Amino acid sequence: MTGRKAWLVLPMLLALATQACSSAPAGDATAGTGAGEQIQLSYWNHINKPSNDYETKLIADYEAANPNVKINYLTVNDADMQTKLTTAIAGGTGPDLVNQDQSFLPALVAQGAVVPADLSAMGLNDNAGFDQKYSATIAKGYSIGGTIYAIPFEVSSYAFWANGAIFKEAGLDPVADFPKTYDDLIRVGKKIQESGAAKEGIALTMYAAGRDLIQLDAMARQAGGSLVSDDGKTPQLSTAPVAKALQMWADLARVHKVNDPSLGPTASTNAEDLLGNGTAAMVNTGGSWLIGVLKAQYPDVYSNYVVGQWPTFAGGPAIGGDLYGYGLMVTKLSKNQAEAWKFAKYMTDHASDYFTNTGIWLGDTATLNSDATKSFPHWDVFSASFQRGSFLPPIVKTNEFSQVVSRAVQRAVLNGEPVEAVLADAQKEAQPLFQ
Amino acid sequence: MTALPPGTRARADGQLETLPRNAPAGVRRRALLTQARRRSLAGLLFVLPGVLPLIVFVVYPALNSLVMSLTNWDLTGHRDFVGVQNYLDLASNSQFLHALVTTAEFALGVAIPGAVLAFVLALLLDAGVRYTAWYQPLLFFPVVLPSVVSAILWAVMYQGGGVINNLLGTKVGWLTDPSWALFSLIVLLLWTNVGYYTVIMLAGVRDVPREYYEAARTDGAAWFGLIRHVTLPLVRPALLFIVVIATADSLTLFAQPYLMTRGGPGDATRMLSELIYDTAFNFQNIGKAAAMTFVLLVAALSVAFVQFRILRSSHD
Repeated sequence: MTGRKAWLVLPMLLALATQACSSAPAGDATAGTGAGEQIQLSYWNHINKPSNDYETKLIADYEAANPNVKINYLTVNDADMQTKLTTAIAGGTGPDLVNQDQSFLPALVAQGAVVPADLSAMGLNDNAGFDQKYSATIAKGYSIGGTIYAIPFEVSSYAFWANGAIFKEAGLDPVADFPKTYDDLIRVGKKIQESGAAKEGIALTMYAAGRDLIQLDAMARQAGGSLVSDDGKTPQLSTAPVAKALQMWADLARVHKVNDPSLGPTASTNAEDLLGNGTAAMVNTGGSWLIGVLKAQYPDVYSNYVVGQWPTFAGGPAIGGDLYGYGLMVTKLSKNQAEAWKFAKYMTDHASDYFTNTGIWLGDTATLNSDATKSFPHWDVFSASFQRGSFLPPIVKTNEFSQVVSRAVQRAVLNGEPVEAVLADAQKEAQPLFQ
Repeated sequence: MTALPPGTRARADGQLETLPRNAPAGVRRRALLTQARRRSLAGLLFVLPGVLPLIVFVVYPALNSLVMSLTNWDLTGHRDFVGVQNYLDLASNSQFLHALVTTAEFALGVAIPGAVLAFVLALLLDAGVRYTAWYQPLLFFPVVLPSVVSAILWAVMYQGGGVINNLLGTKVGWLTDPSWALFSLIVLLLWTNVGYYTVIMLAGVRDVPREYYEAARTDGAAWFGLIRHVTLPLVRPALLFIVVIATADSLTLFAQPYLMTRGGPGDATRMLSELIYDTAFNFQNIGKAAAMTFVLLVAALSVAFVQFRILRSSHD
C-alpha cells in the first residue's frame, strides 16, 4: 500500500471502527444507591420563568432534606427539547429525569429511551391508583399500551382570549359579543377591523408545527372527525371533517380576512404576542399560563383580557382545544432511577403550591378541586375546557406528522391552494409514517 | 527508491557498508533511513500540525457521514447496513428534490447579484466618492451582525405592517406569500454578505495597475471600455472567489430560513440544509440525512468546479 493510499484508508478505518464500537447496545445502566452515597441527579425542564423559579426553590429544599443528593437543573427551550434529549441520550449523556411534552412519549418509548413509571415509588401502586389521582382521560396521554411511562407535570388546553379594550373601542361588548361560533368570530373580527381598533380580528398560529397540529385537530373534532384514528394507527387527513376545519381556517384569512398571516406570527414569534402588542383583538392559543405572561409582559392587555371557550361550528358539538401536557420521565440511561422517581414524587407532592406559584396545573384531581384553583382567575373556563378537550392519540412519528400537517395548513392558508388537494397530498405523505 | 537492507548504510561513494554488530543503536537506526526518507519524514512532521486537524475534523467526519449514509441509524439504537438504499430513496423523494431545486434557485439568486453588487460598490468606493470612509464600515456592518439578530430584525421589517411595506406603500406578505418568500430571503442574505464581497472585490479592483488604464485611455477607451476590457478581466480571480463563496454561503444557509419561515410557506423556502437538520435531529433518520449531505457535497463540488472552469483567468 502506498503512503498516499494509507492516508485515505486510515480515516475510513477509524470511521468504521467507531461505528462498530458505537453500534454496541447500551447496557441497562440502572444501579442502586446506598444510603449516604453521593448522588448526582440531572433534571431537565423547558424554559418557563415562573415554573423555573419555583422549581429552583423546590430543588434547594430537596437538597437540604437530602444532603447526599445534588440536582443539576437544566432548562431548555421547549422547541429544542426533543432534539436535545434524543441527541444526548444517543451520546449516553441524557438526564436522569426530564419533564417532556407527552406527545413525544410514543417516540421515546419506541426508542427505548425512557423506562415505565415506578408507580409504587410515586405512591400510586397501580394504574387504578393513577386514574384515581389524575383521571382516565389524562392516563391516555401518559401511557403506551396500558403501561404508564410518565407522571403528569402540566396539563393544559388552549382557551379563547380577547382584548376587552379593543372590543369596547370597536363598539362591542367584550362579554355579550364574545364569539361563540365561527360566524360570530367573523362578524366581530370584521367590525373590529373596520373600526380600526386593531389590524386583525384574530391572530392564528402559523409556522409552529406542534401548535398547528393540535389546533387543526381540535377544529376537526368540532367538525365531527379527527386527524388520526383513536388507536393512533391511521391518519385521517383526507376526510370531510378535516377539510371543513381547514377550509374554515383558510377562509378566516383569505375570504373573511379577519386573520392576516402577513402580520405574523413568524417562525420565531407566537400568536399571543400579537394579542399582547395590540395587533390582534383575539387569539385561540393560550392556556392558564397566558395570564402570567400577560401580567408580566403586557400589563395593558392583562387588565382588559377576557377569556372563554373556543367558538364552534354553528350547531356543532361544544369541543374546545386539544389537551396537551408534559410529563416527568426517567431515562433508561439513568444510574439513579430510584432517586429520580423519589424526586419526581417530591415535586408532584407540591402540586397545589406549584399551581399557586406558576398558574400551571399538574393534572391531579385534588388540585383541580382545591381552594387554590377556585381563587384562580377564570378557572371555571379552564376547568370546563379540560372537560371539552382530549389528547391526540399516541403517534410514534409525531414530529414528522406535525410537519406534514403544518405544511398542509400553510399551503391552504398562505398559498390559497384547494383544501381537498392539499389534504390528499398530506394524507399520502402521512401514510408511511404510520406503518 | 530502493530501501537499504537492514544493518547497512550508504557510503558517500554510493557503496553499501555493513555496520558492525556492536555499532551504537542510534547509528544502526539512522542507517535504516536514507537521506531522502529523512527529508520526507521531516516534511511530514512539518505539515502534520496542519494536516492532523484536517483529518480529525474534516476527513474523518466526512468519511463517518459516508458510512452513516449507508445505514438506517435512528440516532438512539437501530443501525443496520442498508447499502445505497438511502440514495435510491432520495431519487424518488419529492420533498428532497424540491429542496434541491429551491437551494439551487437560492444560490443562483445570491451568487450572481452578489458578485454584480460587490463589483459596482467596489467601483464606487474605488472612485473615491465623498464620505467613502463612512460607507465602508456601514457596508461591512451586517457582516459582523449575528445571523439570529439579522433574522429577527428582517422578520419584523418584513411583517405586514412592517417598515418595508410602509416605505413601499404595499401590503405584501414578504414571508407568507410563496411567490415572495424566497426572494425576501435572498435580499436578506445579500444585505448580510455584500459588504464582505465588496471588500474582496475592492482589493481586486485596487490591484489593477493604473498604467493599464492610462494606456487604454491613450488608445481611446471610454469609461465603459475601461471597465469591460481592463478592470473585469483583471478582477476575475476576485470575482471567482466571490461567486464560489456566495454559492457556498447559500448552500449551507440555515439560521435565517429556520428562524423566519421554517421552510414555508408550504415548501417555498425549504432548502437542503434545513431538510437535513429536520431529517437528522427532528425525525432521527441519520442515515437518510447523511445521504442528503453527501448529495449536497457532490452538488457543491460540481458547482465550484464549473465556476472555476468558467471564471478562471486565461493565463491560469
